[in-house]
Amino acid sequence: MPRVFRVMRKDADDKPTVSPTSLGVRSGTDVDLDPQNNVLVNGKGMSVAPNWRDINVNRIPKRLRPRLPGAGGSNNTFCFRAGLGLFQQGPFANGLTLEPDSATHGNVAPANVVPFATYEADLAATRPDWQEDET
Amino acid sequence: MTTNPKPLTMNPSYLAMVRGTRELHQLLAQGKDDSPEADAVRDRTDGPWQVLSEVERNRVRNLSEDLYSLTEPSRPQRPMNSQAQAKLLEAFEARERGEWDRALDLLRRWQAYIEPSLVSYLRGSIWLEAGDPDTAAIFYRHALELDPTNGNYHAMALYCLNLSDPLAALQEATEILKDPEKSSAGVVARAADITLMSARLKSGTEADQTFHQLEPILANTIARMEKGDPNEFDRTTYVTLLSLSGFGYEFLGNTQAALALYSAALQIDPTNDALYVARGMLLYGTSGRAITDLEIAMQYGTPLVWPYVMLAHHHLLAGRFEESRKLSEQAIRVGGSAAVMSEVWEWMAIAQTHLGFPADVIRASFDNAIRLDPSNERAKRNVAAFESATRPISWQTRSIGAVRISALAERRYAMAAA
Repeated sequence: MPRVFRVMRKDADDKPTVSPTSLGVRSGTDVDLDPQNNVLVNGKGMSVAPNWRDINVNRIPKRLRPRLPGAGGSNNTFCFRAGLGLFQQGPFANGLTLEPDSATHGNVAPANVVPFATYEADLAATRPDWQEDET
Repeated sequence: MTTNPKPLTMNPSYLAMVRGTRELHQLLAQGKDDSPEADAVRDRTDGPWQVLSEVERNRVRNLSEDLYSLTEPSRPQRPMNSQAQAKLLEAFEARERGEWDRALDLLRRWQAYIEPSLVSYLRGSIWLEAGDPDTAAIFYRHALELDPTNGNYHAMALYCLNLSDPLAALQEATEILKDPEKSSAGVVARAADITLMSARLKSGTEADQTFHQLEPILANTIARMEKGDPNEFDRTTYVTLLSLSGFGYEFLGNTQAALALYSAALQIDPTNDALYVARGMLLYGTSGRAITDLEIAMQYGTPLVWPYVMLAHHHLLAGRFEESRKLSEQAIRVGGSAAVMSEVWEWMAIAQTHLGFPADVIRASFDNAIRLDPSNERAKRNVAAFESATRPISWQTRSIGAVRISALAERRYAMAAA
């Protein structure tokens, strides 16, 4: 699994909250759907970065300002990491691929055309792989 | 060799990111970190963020950090020492060289030793010179909040507000001018400038009324400055007040009063090219002094087009065609409205004809004149005269008075739109 970072909310077990704006996606915004409600395989997906410092400064929790000046995100969100591999195109988890679109950003996308619910479930299934990492 | 510092290059993604970051900080200041509005800003800035260069990302991060200073309580100021003083000087020098990021970095690093209002004021000045008046306005306003008695902070805050939100600036200027004695002369001058500039786009009657209201305020403020402490006399503000009064009188058609005020201002600031242009334009055709004034303005490297235009016309009428041609070239380089440039190309064509330029070069100049202003019938008649076999050609050019009147009117609207 490639090493990726994402800012998300967390549940009591310190794992990311499964929701469209946390561990998940918004249809029509993060991914495109066909008329049958299948997710298009077009490189779009759940936004991730190879390092939390590469993420939009307005999303990085404010408490990290001493480490990253200007951080403007909510302190109710956390930087999570999953995987240890290289940040490059390839399999991410069951049914999912990493699709980098630059050296500092990529999307966790569906590997195949699947129903939106399946894609959501595949993303949710990665929940145990994520751990807080703000180092 | 010194070069003028260049403003930052700001692509649409960078501008969207900076705008979003400023908006987010307004929400953070209201405790709306977790609000849908804040999340909407974060969503809106994700795309722009992804395409920023690392330099731009650092600039935005640092701006965001500096924006926190607007709402966070100031830390106790440390006593200034020689090292901090040297770093502050370095920041000034970096700003002078146009090294905007470095200047801001130095201020950030050494801000604990500098009066907080001065830190915000300097940040405002750096962002203004770097070409971002919207961000500058925020820092100037903060400097003013920290030190409400500082007229310079207020004048600069108003100046930047006028660049970023002219309507809000006009409203604030109107409030200031209701009770001008409460504000410093510099603030009154800025408020009067904003009011006068906006008035020139109104109807003649409304604009006249505005200046009639401003006239006593300007006169009283000039008098207040003259009676004030000579050690605190601010020449720049004094010259601005005289110039604004002069312009107001010029606007009302009181040429003599305007000339007297421009001359008084030039006595205080004898290298002010804009004042030479203003006086030279008013005097054009009525006094030889006009030509001297316009030539001096050129010598001072004025960025205004009018001296080149009027002197090109002057030399054309006097039959000094090479001088006229060169000045027309300079006027074209500086640029102006289509109507003015059309006439300058027409003069160029006439001068070229007298200087024996090839016919196709002359035709190209006439073509430019007609292309720029298809309603320029005089240029069409002149090109027809050029094409006819009749020699000598009887050219048609506008009189000195006509050129002066239209140039003054053009300048008025150009200044108001600037």
